[in-house]
Amino acid sequence: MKWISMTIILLLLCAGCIPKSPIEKLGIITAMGFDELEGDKMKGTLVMFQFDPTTSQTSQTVTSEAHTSKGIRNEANQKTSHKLVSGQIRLKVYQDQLASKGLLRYLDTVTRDAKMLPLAYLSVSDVPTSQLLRAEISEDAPNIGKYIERLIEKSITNEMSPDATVVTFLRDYHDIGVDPTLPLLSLEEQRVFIKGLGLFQDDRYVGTLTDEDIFYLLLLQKNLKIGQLQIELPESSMEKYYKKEAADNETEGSLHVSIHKVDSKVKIKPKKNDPSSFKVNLTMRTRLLEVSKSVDLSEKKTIDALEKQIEKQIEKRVSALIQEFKEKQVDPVGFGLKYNTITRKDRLTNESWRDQIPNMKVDINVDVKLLRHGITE
Amino acid sequence: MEFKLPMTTKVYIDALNQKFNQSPDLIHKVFDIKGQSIVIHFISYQIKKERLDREILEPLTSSRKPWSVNDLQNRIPLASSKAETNLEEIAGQIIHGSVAVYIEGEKEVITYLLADQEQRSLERAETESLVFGPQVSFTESLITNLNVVRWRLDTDDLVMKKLIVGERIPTEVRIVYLKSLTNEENVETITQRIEDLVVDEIEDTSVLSQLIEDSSSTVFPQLIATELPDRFCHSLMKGRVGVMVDKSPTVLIGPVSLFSFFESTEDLYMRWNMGTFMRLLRILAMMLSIILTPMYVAALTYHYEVIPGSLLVSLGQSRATVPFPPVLEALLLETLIELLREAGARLPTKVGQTMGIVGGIVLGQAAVKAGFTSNILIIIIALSALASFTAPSYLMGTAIRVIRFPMIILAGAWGLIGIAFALCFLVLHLLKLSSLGRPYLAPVYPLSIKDFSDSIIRLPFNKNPKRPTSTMPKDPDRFDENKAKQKKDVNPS
Repeated sequence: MKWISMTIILLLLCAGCIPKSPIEKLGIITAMGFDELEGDKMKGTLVMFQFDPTTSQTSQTVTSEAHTSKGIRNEANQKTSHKLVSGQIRLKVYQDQLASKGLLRYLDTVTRDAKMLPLAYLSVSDVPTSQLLRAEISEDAPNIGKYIERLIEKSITNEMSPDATVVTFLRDYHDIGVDPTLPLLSLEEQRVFIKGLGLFQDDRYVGTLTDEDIFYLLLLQKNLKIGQLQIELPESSMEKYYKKEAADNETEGSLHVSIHKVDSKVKIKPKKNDPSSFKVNLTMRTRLLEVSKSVDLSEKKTIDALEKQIEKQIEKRVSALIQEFKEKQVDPVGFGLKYNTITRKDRLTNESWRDQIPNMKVDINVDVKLLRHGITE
Repeated sequence: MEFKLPMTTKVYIDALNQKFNQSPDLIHKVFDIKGQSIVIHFISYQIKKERLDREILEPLTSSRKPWSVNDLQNRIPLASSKAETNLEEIAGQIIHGSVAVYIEGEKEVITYLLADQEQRSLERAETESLVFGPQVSFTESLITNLNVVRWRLDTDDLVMKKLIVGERIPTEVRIVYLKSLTNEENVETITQRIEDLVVDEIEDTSVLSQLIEDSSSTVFPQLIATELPDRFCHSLMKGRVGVMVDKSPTVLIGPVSLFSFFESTEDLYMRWNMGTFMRLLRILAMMLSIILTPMYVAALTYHYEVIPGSLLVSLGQSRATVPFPPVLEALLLETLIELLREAGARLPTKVGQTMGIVGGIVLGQAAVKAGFTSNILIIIIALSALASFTAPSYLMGTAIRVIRFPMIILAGAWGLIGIAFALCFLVLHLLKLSSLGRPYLAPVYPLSIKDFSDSIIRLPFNKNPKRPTSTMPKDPDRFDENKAKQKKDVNPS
């Protein structure tokens, strides 16, 4: 009896202490965008769900200005009858001007607030996010925030873009010898798309990588399973192997090859005591899906030659990519991190590595194997 | 007035009439045979009249010699004849369907048992019906039930200990077990508990079960009440003790664990993988049934963060029209389901079906349309109600449905913390429970991985040579493990 009465008293006394937040009284923010304003201020755009019995329109977009991310939420709270909460934020977009000043101060709240999902996606936008997050969606997504989230999620799972969650960003930021990357969003005819990849020096946005180059970066970053790739080979490269009956106009111009289900393994070998020299071994086993010219694939020789050409082309692209990294003094691949794993003394620090990036020499060795090419005749 | 034989027929008749409170049912007939006065007493609807005529009255009246008690015993030799001198005994015999014959001047009354009891024959099981397997169920008659058990377990190893319980209405209780198998401790526990009972009457097995259970305050039953002879006998073969009560169609099995309530004999009749699937399904259903509605309440009142993104919109939209907080909404709907179930159970079968349609379709649809509840909650409540009916034991199903209510209230007051509290309390409570002194949560606690093979899952019979150890059987082996592996096919060559 004592127990039962104690429980009931506790239940009654303590139940009042917990703030209730019934879902129908909330404005549940799913995406946030930040734009730069003059001075220290920033403009925030909130995409949120709020549920009213009278309307089937569940998505709302609110804009407000403040100094901090939480300030934006408080400010926006004045503009809606629902209580704004941030426990369902799955996407944060930063305007490129804002990102180039360093993202860490905006991520502070994410690491501090337990209600913030650490697996939320981060991204950069080259148009003001107040425009980006008001873009139309023609697809079957509940709101623009969800749409962009799915867009990024899809490109990550399909190995078209590196991981872009808060956790990976912070990990890459804090690790020595590796720089984070984030997807770069843009608008085209009122439609949001992934334009490329934003490169970061520590937490500062410094440049972009084109859509095509992302795959070569991915090849260096991790082992792939399902990636796909289009390669342009020079006109003369496969001349000898065209089918005899092919007409001349068919053999003109450069040759395009499409490979998919790229199963790649990357091995980066640093040299002991020399942080400027690396050896990269790239093995790819893949399937040939499409060739733009009538190449005689029934011959073993042709396949071998094709593999050689693809290897050459990939090698070329990868070294060009590394050259670009050197110029921008960024290291999204994590060469410095690899070096630090094999050495105990004279480890790289963040500053020393940044200075050494332009001196880096990378020896690339690609091995491509075309496992299947389908029946052509 | 003292009743002492011999006496005159008139006094004798008066004495019996008085004993029976001048009951109109007590019939006496006085025969005058060769100057000798013979009285027979019986209750008309308790005896088989044809047998009375044929087997007693005919020889009695056709005799040429005068009768004595010895003559009666010798010349009307029925198996059930008994000589009585005590009025209590005579009255008792007549109540149970005997015919009492008194020859004037003799010192004893001879009774013949010609009982004719109204009883139903063996029928299909109703509350624990099986799709596949033996269909017969116990009846209200103890004799029939004993007969069925003897028929299934035809061994002299079977002990059926007889006890009489009830001060005012004595009822026969049988303790049934296999002597070479069952631990005496279990038998003694249950015998002692039944012997110690001082009650007026045992209405039914379930009443006896409540009287002798280890804990009477809990919602969980600690003895299985079943109406299936195959389940009863299978339990005996596991080293458990059975209790049968006269006038009750259910029998008790103990000691049992929580998981026994989710076992059905059907699992044995199906192949082992299907049996395992069914058992796991039932345990999962129990958990879902307990957790689902409280989770809904907690998530929608406090933890909007845990709602999956893809569910958020549909949940929010359906909640927006509901005027009550989620706790009230859930309690309301749970009560509605309980009302439907109760009404369905009380109504005659034909009306009961209409009830289901009215409740399920009309009320559910209308409630959502009227903005009374969200349709997601309807699905959740229906699911958890359905899940609670999968328990093969009706008592356990009811227990599961009942513990949902405090959990919903706790979830409404404290959110997920409340649910965690409730679950902790539940687990502690289950740990504390025992069945005839044996742990209730076996084989999970105390942990015995080997016992899993025939409780939570079911292994193939040849892989399962041991009896469960939680009942401490005298003989732990069903068969020799090594012999089971040999398959000696007859070689044609």
